[in-house]
Amino acid sequence: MATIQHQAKPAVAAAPSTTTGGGQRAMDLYEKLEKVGEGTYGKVYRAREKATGRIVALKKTRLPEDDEGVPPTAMREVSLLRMLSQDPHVVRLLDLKQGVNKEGQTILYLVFEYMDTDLKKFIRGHRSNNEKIPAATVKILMYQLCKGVAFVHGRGVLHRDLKPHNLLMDRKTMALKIADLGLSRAITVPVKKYTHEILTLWYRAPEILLGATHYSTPVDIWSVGCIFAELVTNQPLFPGDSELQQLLHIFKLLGTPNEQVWPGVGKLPNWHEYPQWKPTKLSALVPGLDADGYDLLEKLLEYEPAKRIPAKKALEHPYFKDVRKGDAH
Amino acid sequence: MAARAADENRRPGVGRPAPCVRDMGSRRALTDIKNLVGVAPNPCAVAKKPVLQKSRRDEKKTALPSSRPMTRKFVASLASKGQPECQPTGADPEPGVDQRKEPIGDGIIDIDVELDEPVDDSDCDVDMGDETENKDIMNQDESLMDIDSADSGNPLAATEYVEELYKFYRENEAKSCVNPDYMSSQQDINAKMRAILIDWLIEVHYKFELMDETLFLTVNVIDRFLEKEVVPRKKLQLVGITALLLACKYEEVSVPVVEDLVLISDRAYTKGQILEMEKLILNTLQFNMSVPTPYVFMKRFLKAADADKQLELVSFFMLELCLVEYQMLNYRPSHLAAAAVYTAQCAINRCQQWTKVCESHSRYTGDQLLECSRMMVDFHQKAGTGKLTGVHRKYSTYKFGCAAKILPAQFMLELGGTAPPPSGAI
Repeated sequence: MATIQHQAKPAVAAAPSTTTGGGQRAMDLYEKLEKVGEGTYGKVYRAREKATGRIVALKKTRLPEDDEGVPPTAMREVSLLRMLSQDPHVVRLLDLKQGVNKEGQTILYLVFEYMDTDLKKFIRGHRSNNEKIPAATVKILMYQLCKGVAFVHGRGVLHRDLKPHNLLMDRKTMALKIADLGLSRAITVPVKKYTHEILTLWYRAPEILLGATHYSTPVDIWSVGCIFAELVTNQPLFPGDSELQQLLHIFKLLGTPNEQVWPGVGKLPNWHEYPQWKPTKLSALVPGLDADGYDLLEKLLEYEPAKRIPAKKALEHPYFKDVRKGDAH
Repeated sequence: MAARAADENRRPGVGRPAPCVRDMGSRRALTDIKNLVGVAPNPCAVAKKPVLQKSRRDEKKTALPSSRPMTRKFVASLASKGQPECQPTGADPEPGVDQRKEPIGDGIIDIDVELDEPVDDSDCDVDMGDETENKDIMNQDESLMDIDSADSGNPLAATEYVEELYKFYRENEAKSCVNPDYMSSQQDINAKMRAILIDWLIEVHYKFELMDETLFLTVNVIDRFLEKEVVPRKKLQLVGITALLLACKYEEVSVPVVEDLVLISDRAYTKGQILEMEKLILNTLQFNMSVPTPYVFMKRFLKAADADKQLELVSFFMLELCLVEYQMLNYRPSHLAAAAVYTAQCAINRCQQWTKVCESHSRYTGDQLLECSRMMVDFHQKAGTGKLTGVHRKYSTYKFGCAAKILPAQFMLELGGTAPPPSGAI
């Protein structure tokens, strides 16, 4: 029976402290060990907290004085993490430090719990070894992803950039955590008009590709479906290199949508007369799942956003019945 | 593959310029707070819009040319040339038509009522009810109905999460509240100055055409910051515009550029000062911008009340009147929102109305709301008088349904008995 191991977590997660230049400099408190990534506004390091020896991830964000101040992405990420960090399936923000670099620029350091890999690297490792991820592992990872997404949505937040690279993992425990909330935003109900230029192309929902400005939680669910297929095959499901190519990829595999399968699709801003493709069977596209797995995947990749299964409901799907038994949370 | 930079996530510098910086009328930025001594007036911020004459069917109205991006070059040209000529427009539209934007040839012009002059009642000849009028009030089904079932097929309503979401908001609303006596620890500012600041910010918010959420978050940020930091009066407006900037960065799709905020505050502060204050506010609040404001509760309670556009606008009018009033910090966001809907229903229907459905979803009874509601009626009565009339002027426009024209629910002040202590009070 598949079970999920969770990392030990303090009973009360203390609110991250914020220290301005007047306090101890971040670099006096942490020792950089290696660069592990690069984001829009700066680098990510593996580091050691000097006082405790604890390994952490340091995300460095530049706040250029001559520009427009704190980037909205950084502000939203920190603020939303303050709200969401208590969940075991969202990466924990441990601390927040401000300092000044040699050039006199203000630097914001986000201190996160350290996770030793991410889902992109995990999949790539299996692909390069020419081996499939075990079905039980896929199920455990998917269950945690759905739990995390259900929690985030239940707090009124859209992630808007779910992809393997933004899902951190612990190789030993197989714990999975949602990270990188830079493109996230809190929503009010009913959801308003937002930008449609979100989400990495391969994981972008068709309603966004077709120009919808009013969208909601189903955009994240589409991404979950794409990630599910990628876990099973070790290959991205829809690897488009432009918005049009992305749409055509989706239509070729799932069939060109019409008013019957997706009422209102023809009224979306970017809708044109597209080539007419018939849907391919999911079992041909994503070999290696059982009947319950295909049923869940189909529900995650529904064209009509209203019919796409919510994360909360996905957790109750028969595909997860054996994982649910072992889930203490 | 990296995501394309989204408009709302790009640096605000490449966002839209604020649409109406130069339409702020003659009111200098917060002169009452005495922080503009020696500041040269910025032509764009002080240029006066022509005052509209009393409407007559056969008279022409004057109007401002359409907005254009505010740039230093444009400001300089205004300074050297004076204001652009006003163009006459055609005949008045019928009552009830939004007359903010009227076409002239191919362009669009803004002919909104001058915000610094009293709004002429004749601009809004919409029937807003009468004390003596006997209105039929629809008999609502008083059973506790599920207000979300009709939206189950609408993903924008997020019906599967809405109960969980509002449970979370309720549990967390106390964290967004401030000590209602925080002003006593301020040495140089007081409740009156706070009122002046917020009244001005309501106009700025209106002129920049920002989202409702942004206004409520701005005021929340100001109060939480002032609760923790002692601020000299000459920096109060700086706190206000910086709070607006932060709220925009959190809520808006396109963020006004900092230079526009410098202009709107009559160059009282530099861009550098705003960015420094931004860091100070964020650090003081520990980057906590994710708080439930009255806005989120208002949307829910309006749905429970099965609100039409009129009820929505009158409710928001009541709620915004409270933003200016320091004493209303005694109430939780959910309590203010519920009382605003209750007061608006009473004003529209000329009798007390608070259904079981509203009670169930708001968790407040009519009795619990009465004290707060009476205060709102009092604010409503005084809204068009005195110096701080920003909310009244805003809600006297067609864009906001002339909601300010509705008669106050005066009968509520005469109701006997004292209400029990409100459960939503802090």
